[in-house]
Amino acid sequence: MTPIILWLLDRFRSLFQTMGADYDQLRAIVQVKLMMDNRRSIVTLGRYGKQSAETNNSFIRILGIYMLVGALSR
Amino acid sequence: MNMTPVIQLQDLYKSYGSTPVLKGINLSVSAGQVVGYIGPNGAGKSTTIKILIGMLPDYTGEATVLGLDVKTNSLEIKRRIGYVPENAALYDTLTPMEYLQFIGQLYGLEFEQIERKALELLRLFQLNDYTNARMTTFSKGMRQKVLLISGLLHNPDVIFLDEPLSGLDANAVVLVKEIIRQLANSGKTIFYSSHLMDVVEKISDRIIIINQGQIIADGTFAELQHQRPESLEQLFAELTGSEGQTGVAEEFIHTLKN
Repeated sequence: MTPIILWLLDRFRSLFQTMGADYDQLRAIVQVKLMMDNRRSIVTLGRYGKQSAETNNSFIRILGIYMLVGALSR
Repeated sequence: MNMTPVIQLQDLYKSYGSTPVLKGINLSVSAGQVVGYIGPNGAGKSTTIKILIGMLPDYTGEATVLGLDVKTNSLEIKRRIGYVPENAALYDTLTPMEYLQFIGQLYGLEFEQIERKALELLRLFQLNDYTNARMTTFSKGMRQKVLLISGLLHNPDVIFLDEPLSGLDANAVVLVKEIIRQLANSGKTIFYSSHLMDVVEKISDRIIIINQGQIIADGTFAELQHQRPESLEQLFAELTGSEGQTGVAEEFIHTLKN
């Protein structure tokens, strides 16, 4: 999942640069943040205490849950 | 070696809210010096360092690092200095390698270069078995080693160390002391804050003692000792006005008993 997001981000490289960002730094930060989000064990997903795999897309799953909660609370 | 001071502070004042923390700090440090910066808890050591690295922009007075004004050139300064904080929030879901890759990328280093350096440095700190283990399980000392490496990875000219030895075992302390010494010999400037008097005494070219936001002593250990021939610990206690700790300890025990 992370490579896809980074690939998408790379399409906007010149946009970020015109806005004055150091793109290589920005990319490094996004990459690390995604990596950490995917490793975080999330209580609501019922995997608390399990040693997490390299990537389990928990970030995408939690986004799904946010979507659901958002839709319900309209 | 050029003789323009690497670090210069002039009439530096800083307060948090209405509490003044620094009340007029003046100092200048030239290249290749190891400066030991000591003072009691809450004296303003970390604050001074944070101002110098550009983390606290709202101060009054002049602060320059490498000849650049901290207020206007903080990004350029941050690229050229190294900072090892007292208690940094390491991203502990990462492995040391990933963390160092991240930090290295922020400093604009090449991927292969970072990998090569990081592996070597981790090996020298005897962390080679843990290169690809998550840092969640790391002890305080192991984290501190990773932090030290991350602060020095880009080979900076000026290095700010805030309690760099906390949690390190005796062997690592000796190693880090030696590293500091040799870095200084190769012309790097080290600004070092610590509470461990014996370490400061041994590695510093110059010792600065601050208390309540003011510099109360500044000089080599020999010079300071010349005034009062005692150990640095006693000198420190005397200058910062906390003598008679035995009495305080007795009082402490007494209060506990009641």
